[in-house]
Amino acid sequence: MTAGPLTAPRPKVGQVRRPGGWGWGVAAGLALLPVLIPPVSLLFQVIGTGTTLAVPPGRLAELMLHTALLTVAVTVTAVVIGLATAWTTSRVALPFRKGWMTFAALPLVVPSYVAALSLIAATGPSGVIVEVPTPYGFVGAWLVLSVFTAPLAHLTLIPGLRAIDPATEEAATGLGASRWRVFTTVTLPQLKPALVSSGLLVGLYTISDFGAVSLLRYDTFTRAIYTLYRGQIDRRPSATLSLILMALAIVILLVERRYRARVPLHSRRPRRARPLLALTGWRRVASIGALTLYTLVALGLPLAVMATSVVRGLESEQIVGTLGAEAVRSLGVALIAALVTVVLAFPVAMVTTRRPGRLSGWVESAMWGAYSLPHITVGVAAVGFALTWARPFYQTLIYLVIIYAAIFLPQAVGAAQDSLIRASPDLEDASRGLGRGPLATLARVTIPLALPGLVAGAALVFLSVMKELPATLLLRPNGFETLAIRIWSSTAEGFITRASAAGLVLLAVSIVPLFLVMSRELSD
Amino acid sequence: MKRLVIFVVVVAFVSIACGGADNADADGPMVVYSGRSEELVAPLIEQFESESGIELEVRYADSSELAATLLAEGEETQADVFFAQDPASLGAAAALMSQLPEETLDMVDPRFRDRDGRWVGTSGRVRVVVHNTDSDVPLPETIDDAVDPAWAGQMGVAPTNGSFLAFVSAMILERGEDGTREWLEALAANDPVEFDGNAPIVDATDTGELGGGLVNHYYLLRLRAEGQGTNTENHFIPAGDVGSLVMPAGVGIMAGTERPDAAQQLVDFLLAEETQTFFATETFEFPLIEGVAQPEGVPPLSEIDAPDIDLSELAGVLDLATRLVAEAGLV
Repeated sequence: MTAGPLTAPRPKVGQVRRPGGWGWGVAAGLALLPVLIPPVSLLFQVIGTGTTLAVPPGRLAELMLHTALLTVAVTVTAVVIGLATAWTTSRVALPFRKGWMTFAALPLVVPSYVAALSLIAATGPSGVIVEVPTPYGFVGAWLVLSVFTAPLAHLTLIPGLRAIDPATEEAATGLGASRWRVFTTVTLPQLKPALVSSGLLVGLYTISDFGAVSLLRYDTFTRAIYTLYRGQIDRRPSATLSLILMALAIVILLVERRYRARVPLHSRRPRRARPLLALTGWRRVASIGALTLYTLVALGLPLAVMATSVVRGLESEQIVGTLGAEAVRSLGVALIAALVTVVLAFPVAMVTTRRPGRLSGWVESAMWGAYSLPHITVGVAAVGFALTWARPFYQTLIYLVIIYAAIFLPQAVGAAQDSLIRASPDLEDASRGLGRGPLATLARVTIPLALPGLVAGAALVFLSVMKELPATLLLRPNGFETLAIRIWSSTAEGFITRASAAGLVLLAVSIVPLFLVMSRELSD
Repeated sequence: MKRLVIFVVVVAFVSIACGGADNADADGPMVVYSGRSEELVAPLIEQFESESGIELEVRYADSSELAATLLAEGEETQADVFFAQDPASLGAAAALMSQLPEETLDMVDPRFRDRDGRWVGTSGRVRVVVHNTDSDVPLPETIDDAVDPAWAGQMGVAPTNGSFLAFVSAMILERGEDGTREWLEALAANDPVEFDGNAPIVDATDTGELGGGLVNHYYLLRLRAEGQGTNTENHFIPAGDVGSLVMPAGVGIMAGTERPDAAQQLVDFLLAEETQTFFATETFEFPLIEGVAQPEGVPPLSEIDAPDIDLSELAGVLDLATRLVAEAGLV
């Protein structure tokens, strides 16, 4: 293979006929069926029962403004943090680099309500860490959500960074560009697809989050929706608000699609290892220091707060109880959901990257729309769907996994898309040209090329499912108590010791699979 | 990678085996929807199973969420028994419940059971004003004193919490929609500190961050059991208004059950002396049958000036209560 320009002129999409292409379309269509359950069911619910807006218009505007402000602030901050951790842990020769890489992903498993509780416990008049007033309102919600969603960007950007051809950066360095100039003019532009997906992942997650905004008392759309669901037996007002929120998310997506430059970025070179950057002096100290600070805040703080509660509780002879069954359930269902979601995500990523068109645009919008819905809305809509259309699946594990896949599909698709955008279809064509069948090409060429993205996507989904609460509460089989449910119910009843113990177990059992995945697949 | 896949599959199977819980049929375990959390009632469930030999399958969630779920499931529900935390949720699902026998109902004061006999209270929870003992906030004589300007910025409330909404619903029954709106507006004008639940209000009161808050009586007692809560006291408003509302947790049998006898056994068990003692000593709630000792650290239920309202009507005004709370700008 010869070295060519980074973006070789390619025939327009649609002009190349690849046999078997419709198969991907069908597979992607099937994979997206679960995603349609929540929005379609919500629409039916609203059409069937009518709408009532229990919220005065002035307050509606206020909620929208608050939601928009928080979303923008969190997205920018989290992507910057995630870019910093992803770049440092994948490019710099650090002691325990792989460990840092894993640790920087781990805060994702801290549920936002636990994170918010940690901040509240750490500050205030009796603060465990500092005696500053607790930053309630916008500042608190912004800090907590930024720090704890940064791993969404971190995990999405690692495969993106890894896939950049070292030759482009080396060429720029060879031409005398400074390291910073190389980063801003060569690395960043190539990272754009990954930056966009991580921005969407963070931004739309922020829209759907409830835990942090409610505990830190910042009034957003989602908080209003939860209040209505909890306080009212009548589901109409909450369904109406949810529909407005989903429309808001779709507007964001349409704007994003309009301005997204679809630059084909595939490199024709085979991937090769890149020497790690050896930083010395203050740069080395600073990068280790920054990673330590982030890990201390995002992992150390919740750990310290929970451990303190457990110790204090055990001293007063509080019973913690066994959490083994909950741990196994959380772990099992999260692993299955991650696997299923990645399998569903692959054809969707194939279709949207290899054959982007109007249809795939709609499909992507539906997917992100479902992701931005508060999980309680998804849960209620899914219950309604199962009761009406799929009674045998109601309150079964299979259905729960399907709905997890529907909620978290964008996390896996975003990561897989980024790998696929960079893997040139020419490689697949070459494989076919050399006489390999479509399945062999898929197994030997396409999947290996997409693997880093798929694994990163699986890790994201796994961590998200581990902590998912509202949809789990509504959809799980009777008696299927998970660690997240244990944390929630203990906290609600004021049994802090038990809640903290469950939180510690949640962190502990998440580390093992994450380490496995990160060390095997993500580090070069 | 292969090992990873095998690991995933093994764990998955184990988890499904542990999760068990497939849809119940007539021979399967009896299904209980519990709005009372597992933390509180798991020991009771185990004890009932071992004493009666009846296997239970419990679905734990918010009471109001379960009530809405029951309404969505309708007569097809798998639930045999609904055990809820508040009368509003019980009332919302009451239409799907069968009538309880007289001898069961008679064990409990008529104030703490359904007018039509479809659910019965199992333990009492009382609204109180917790207050920091070092704070100089005036202790309210009536619920209207709780919105006195002296409390400005000092009062913790949990406006989205089920208990607070039940309290507002009761106020609607007591003084009507307009009177309740006025009270809520006075509260909102007083710059209250909003929380997601009751427990953090008691925490914040204990640390001195707040003068006090509107909560249920047992959160302080549980905090004390954790070795904290030494700077805080419960204050029971003595005026006989909704400030001292008693909200029974309660239980009802679903009309569609195929195991009415087993369900009745569970109801009897919850009203048995031993269980009532458990509520008093372990969850710090008021027992509702005669002759069981009251929890320590609170006045007996008979001395609390509870308002005179029909709890069966609470569910009917719950949605209105949520709306008024939202309109007052509290959520």
